[in-house]
Amino acid sequence: MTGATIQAKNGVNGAVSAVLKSLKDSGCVDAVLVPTRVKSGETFVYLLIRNPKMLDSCAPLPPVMPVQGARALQSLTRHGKVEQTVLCVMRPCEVRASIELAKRRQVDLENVLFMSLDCPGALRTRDYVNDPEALDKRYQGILNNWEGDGLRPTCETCVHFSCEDVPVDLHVGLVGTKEEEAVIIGVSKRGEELLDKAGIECSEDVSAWQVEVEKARDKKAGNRSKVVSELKDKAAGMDNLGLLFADCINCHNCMRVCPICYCRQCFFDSSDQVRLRAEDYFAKAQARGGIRFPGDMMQFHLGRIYHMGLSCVGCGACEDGCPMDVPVSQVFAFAGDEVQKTFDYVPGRSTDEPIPTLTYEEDELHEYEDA
Amino acid sequence: MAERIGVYVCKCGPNIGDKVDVDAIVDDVKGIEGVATAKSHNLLCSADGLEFLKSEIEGEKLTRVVVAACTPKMYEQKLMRACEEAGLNPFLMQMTNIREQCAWVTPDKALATRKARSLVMAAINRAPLLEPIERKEIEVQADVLVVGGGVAGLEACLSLAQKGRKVYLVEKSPCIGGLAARFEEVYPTMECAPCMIAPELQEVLQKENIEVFTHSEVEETLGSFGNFSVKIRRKARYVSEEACIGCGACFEPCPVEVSNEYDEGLSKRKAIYVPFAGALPNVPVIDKDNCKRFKGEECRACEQACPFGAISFDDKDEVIERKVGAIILATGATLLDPKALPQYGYGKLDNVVTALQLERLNASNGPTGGKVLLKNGKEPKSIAFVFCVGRKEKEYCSGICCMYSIKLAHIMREKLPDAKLYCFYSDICVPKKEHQQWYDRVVDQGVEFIRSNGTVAVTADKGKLAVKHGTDSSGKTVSVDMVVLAPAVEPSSDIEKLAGILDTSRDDHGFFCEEHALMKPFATALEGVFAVGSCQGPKDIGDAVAQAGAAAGRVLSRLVPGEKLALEPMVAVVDEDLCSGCKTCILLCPYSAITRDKEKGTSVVDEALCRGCGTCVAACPSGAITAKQFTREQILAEIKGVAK
Repeated sequence: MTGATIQAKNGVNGAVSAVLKSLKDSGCVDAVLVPTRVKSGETFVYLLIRNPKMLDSCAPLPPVMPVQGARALQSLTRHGKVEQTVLCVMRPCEVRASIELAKRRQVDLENVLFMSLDCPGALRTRDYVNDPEALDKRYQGILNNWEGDGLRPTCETCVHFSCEDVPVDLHVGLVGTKEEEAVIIGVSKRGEELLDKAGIECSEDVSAWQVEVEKARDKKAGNRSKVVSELKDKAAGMDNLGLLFADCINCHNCMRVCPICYCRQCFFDSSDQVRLRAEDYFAKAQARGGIRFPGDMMQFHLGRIYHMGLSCVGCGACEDGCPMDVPVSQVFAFAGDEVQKTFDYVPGRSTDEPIPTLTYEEDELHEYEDA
Repeated sequence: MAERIGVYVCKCGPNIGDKVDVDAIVDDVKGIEGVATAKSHNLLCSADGLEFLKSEIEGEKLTRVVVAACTPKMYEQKLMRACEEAGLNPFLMQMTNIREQCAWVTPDKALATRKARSLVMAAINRAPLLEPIERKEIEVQADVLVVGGGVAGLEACLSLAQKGRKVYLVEKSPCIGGLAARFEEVYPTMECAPCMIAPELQEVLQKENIEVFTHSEVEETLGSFGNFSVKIRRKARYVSEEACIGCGACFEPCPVEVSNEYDEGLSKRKAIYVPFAGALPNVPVIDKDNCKRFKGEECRACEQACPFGAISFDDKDEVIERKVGAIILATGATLLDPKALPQYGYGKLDNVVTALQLERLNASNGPTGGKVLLKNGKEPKSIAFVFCVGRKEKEYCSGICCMYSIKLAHIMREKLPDAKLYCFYSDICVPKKEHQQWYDRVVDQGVEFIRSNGTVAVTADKGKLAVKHGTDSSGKTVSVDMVVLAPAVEPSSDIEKLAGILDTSRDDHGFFCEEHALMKPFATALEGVFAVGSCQGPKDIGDAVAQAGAAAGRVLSRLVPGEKLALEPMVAVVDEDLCSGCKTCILLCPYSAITRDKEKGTSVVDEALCRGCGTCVAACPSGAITAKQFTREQILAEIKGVAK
């Protein structure tokens, strides 16, 4: 693997925005879908940019992830493919979610290119909006040292923060690079061509960066196994699971921000499907002594885990969006790990990898037979 | 309007009456809201019972009926007809099983009664939610697709065509006739195989209502019994079947020579060839993988040699679509490759051959013109037949190897009167009425039978072959010139692909699964799809033909032109407003009944194909699909009824 060093005197965002401009100028990209700071300053949104000047203010690696990029891309391609070439600049988890959505026909990847960046994780959106300035500084520190306080718990355990197992065209390497420097790499053949056309020569050896990525991944993997093993006890059995979700207020925000939850209308929002008649609630209350309201809280979370666990990319959007600090994402990561392991499936790794539950295999899962 | 439910509990004579307190249940449900009447009956399925049910529906002006009786598999249809005759939509009857599920399995009468009561309550609770369903009928397609042109396929074609049915025969090789066309003599009649088959081949090729696609494969099948749509890929032959007269002038100038698979690798063929002399149709084919022209060289030797301009290098594969009502699979079998069992030396030692290779050596249209010769061109002075090659590994007896080996031994005895012949067997399997006599006869002819119990090992021995048998180190050795292996019969290589296309299941050994080993050995679990001959399990010619005839008969009696086929009434329905178009249901539907409406981006169920299995209903993440007669509300109501 080879790449090119890019100067980042004005921070990562400035460096990447310069690359984006030269890609746009070269004519091989018609538009860029990239996070950008809102005018008031306290948060970021995705912008579909056609005017190169607007790329000046883009923020390819914002400190927070208020909107999951796959959701933005899903809105763009809801009615089928885009006719012009769009370069999507996203965190690796956002790219992976896009791939999962494409497999479920909710995103059309034709004419879509991806650029990802080494992602140290994101800060909690709620913390950020309270004091953007201080958290910008904190995030800069995290970027420099690749560690620091305040990252979302899911991000602390993320092993897919770089471009391995993420089908991107371009990637910006940041881990362990010199301060004020980053490397840009053409990962796919198309990515290489893009850089070539934009006049960016990629001949530098990037193995030093790769070594740093490995080190950082080992660390995150260690975090992950620790968290998962702790959670295993905490989430065992319905009673424990009930405690984990005890604070849930049924706002369904986790579902609304989840990039994978794609149903036009959630089964649990079509109230008549899940709400029982009063007499039935009375009967239940009679049997158990008392029941919690609204009644479908656990069903909702279990339903989501069952539907989305296999495709969960661990982006943490659900937990970030939760007003009650329920560790939704961590429970998903734990359940997802188990089921993904069972099928040897890595969500978002490749568009060619079929979703196992939709693929008939004559010879599999014998260990679950006649148990 | 409140529903008027009639509840009828059948005593089934003493079957239910003695084990369940039927009258107690009747009394118990009488007061329930919506129940207009509740009665017991001694035998509802009897003529009296059905009349009683009809008069009740009419007299009580019932809008729903609950019948608690035996399994719906027995008399549900009969009871539904009675409802229909009384003017009630038959789908407004709810049946519940208190015989198999209560009376017959719960000895304690009180417990059986309690359980039966729960089931009746469930049915009553569900009944108001039932919805009337109109039955639909569709036209059927009486044409038939036969896959495989061996003896079984031919028999199926002819039986169907004789009754005037249009038959499409798809054969992957360039000629029809299958394995049997390549034998010289067949057991037990010892008649000449090509002479026996040729008239059938000619008839199939000439019959107007049989369309033969050789060098072709089934690419896709959609639909179900009565209405299949199939895609056949007719691979480019590069020789026009109309223009060619089969003169063979094209073979000689072809500069390419490759091993001839139709002679089991014992001879060479050209890149333009007919598989063997007498193969039908007598039209050559160009083997694209080996032809120089298709490798980019400027060779047109065959084209120049053809006096009729029959050769066209521009031929393209054609995909042909046909509509059929049934599919008969007759893709036959092949032999296990003995290279997988190195103890026999096959592939390494000269003159170790398979039984099929000996068939070709013995065939007058074979590589040696019917002379059985060793690699050095001499006649063998001794031959060892080894039975049961791979039986242990395959874990089944192929059933035909003993008899064909005995046949070959008999032929060798006549052809090579002085040769020493040995048969190494594990168990002799000669079960049919003529077979034992053949065994006795070859024993009389001096063929030596040696019980080796699968311990045979073949090694080279000074220009000859040493056949060692016996388990201990002192095992005996026989020295012979030729070893003939009888390998296990296994399904032909393309069965996996075909099973995938049709979504039909295979058994542990890879053969097509029959619906019922004894009662329906020729049908697959998929209605309208039959598996006959050796693709369903190893078979000799007679058995294969008999099975093909049975399947053809079944098609003739079930698929009658002009008669309509009732559709499954309980199909799946998609709510377009909820459907996200994720294709989950499409990938999972076992009947390929769901497609995607491109414009709306939603799933659409084809009612003619849907069998109401409910797979899509369970899988839809959006809850956008419901199954008629099994809606969430109905099932929930039933569960609540049980709990009452």
